[in-house]
Amino acid sequence: MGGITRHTGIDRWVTILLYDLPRHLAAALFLAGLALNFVNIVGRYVFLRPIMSAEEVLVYLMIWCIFLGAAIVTFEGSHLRMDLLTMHLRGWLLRTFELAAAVVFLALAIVIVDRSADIVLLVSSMDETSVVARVPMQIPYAALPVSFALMAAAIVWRLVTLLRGEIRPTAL
Amino acid sequence: MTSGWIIATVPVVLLVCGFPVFIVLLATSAAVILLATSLPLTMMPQVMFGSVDKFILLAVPFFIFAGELMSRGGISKRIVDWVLSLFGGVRGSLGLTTIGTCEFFGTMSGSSPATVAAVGRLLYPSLREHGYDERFSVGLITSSGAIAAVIPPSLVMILYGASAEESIAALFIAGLLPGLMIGGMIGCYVIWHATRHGIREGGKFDFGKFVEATRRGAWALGTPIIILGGIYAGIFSPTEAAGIAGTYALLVTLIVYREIGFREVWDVAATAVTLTAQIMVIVAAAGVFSWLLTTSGVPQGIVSFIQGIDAPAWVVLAVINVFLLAVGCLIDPASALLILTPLLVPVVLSIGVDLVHFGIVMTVNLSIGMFTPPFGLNIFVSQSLFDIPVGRIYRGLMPFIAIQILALVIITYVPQLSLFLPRLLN
Repeated sequence: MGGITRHTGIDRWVTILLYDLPRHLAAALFLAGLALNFVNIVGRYVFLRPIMSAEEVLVYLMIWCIFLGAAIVTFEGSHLRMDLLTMHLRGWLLRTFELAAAVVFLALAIVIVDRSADIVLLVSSMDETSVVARVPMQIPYAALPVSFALMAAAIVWRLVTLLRGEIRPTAL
Repeated sequence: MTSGWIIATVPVVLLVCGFPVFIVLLATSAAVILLATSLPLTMMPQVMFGSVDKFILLAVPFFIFAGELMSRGGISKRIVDWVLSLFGGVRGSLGLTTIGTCEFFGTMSGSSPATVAAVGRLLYPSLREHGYDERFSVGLITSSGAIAAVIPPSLVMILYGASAEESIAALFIAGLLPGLMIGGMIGCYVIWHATRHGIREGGKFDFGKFVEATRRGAWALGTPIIILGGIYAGIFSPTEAAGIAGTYALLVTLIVYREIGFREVWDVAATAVTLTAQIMVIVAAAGVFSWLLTTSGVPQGIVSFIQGIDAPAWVVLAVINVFLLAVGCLIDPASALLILTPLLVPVVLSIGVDLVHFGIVMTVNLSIGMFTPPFGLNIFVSQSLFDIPVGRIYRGLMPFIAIQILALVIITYVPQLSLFLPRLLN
């Protein structure tokens, strides 16, 4: 659970919404992808009938997994980073660094949500679909605004916990 | 010129301040776009999407899933038993079993921390019980786990292949001999250590035990044959092989060995997704960063500088190796590789180095970073597994770091070691 603490009331609901649900959804998408890959290979070599659209669908499933996973990692505060300096900081200095990182992260997340939502609307208006599987392209592209919105919410939540005085050693 | 200054300063400052690596890359890219170009910010999500919209990268989550599943289920235990039955009669047999198991586990998972976790949990108590001291045991396990990054299939090679646009299959086969050589060199040290300290843990080689261990572990032992055999027989692509490794591990643990249930499989899948996301979100952000890097002419500037000072190829490679070793001490291999590959590939091409060979040099180099103080990821895996202070782990690692640096020098200056098999198999 990577440093997730469950309380009651709103904390619990936030954890369910920003952590549990994306985690279960990502696990389901991943296992569906694993099954599709296997069925495609069996189809190709045993029945000589590969699923032509498998590659495209697999890539789109994984794109959703990656960005949903990034939202989960944001909630856990376990993004890869170099903590050479911050691991030696304490008190207000650590809090300042965490706040700075949170503000930059939040600003970027909002920019990505805004600009990727534009892309989703654009491909949707053009009725763009993938070449083989004919998947409407707004579906894979929607992984970006949805996940970055979850990341922004997770950052806001971590800021709230920070202001409550809970300095987390894993920071952001 | 403005973009050059931003690219040179902003990432360093933000990395030192402890910002997440992918935020460092996105913030730098946003600063370049806003201050030094007339490009719209919409290109950021567009390039991020394009950077992960690649079939080959699917191999990463599949191999991570296979590695996690094998370390939680009974596959790793059966592999340890089999390798132990093989080395049972040799002095230093438990140490050699550790190396052999890491090599074998590496052929299935491609993940260095997963290998340390799986092998360490099983072999550390036996190593200590049979007279290997704490420092040696933890040093051996922590460093041998890094072999998994060199032995095919390798997650680092997949990321390098995607970044440098090189054949993953060629990189995989190129890593085989260097990986075996590293194992052999550590093995010689283990035998020397066991002889010097009078450790003799095994009896004679017992053919009956070997047959029994092979029978018990047959399903587990079949995994590398399926993965590597499938790739080089042209049956699967590396990505499909990764998926097959995951499915095979799932079926064997769930149906054949029946050691974990569906609830645990679900948890492993969720863990695999989060571990994958930690790396792949950097891949997405690095795509934007390297696109701006290329268009701003930074790599070309470095190439011109190196051509200007007219240094011989061996000096350039030595400087790159020292630089990568230093970077590997501070940043995780995936991040370092994704940030530096677009910068270094034009440089090594300009001095005539083969990109497959350079991929192996980079992989070995960054795999050393996995267990180099202060921040090697494997060190923290060992710390949490064995509850040993980091300072003691650091001291135990020193001889193994020296051995692997020696191996790196050989791999760097004997390109045939990496290129012999890919050329043989064309």
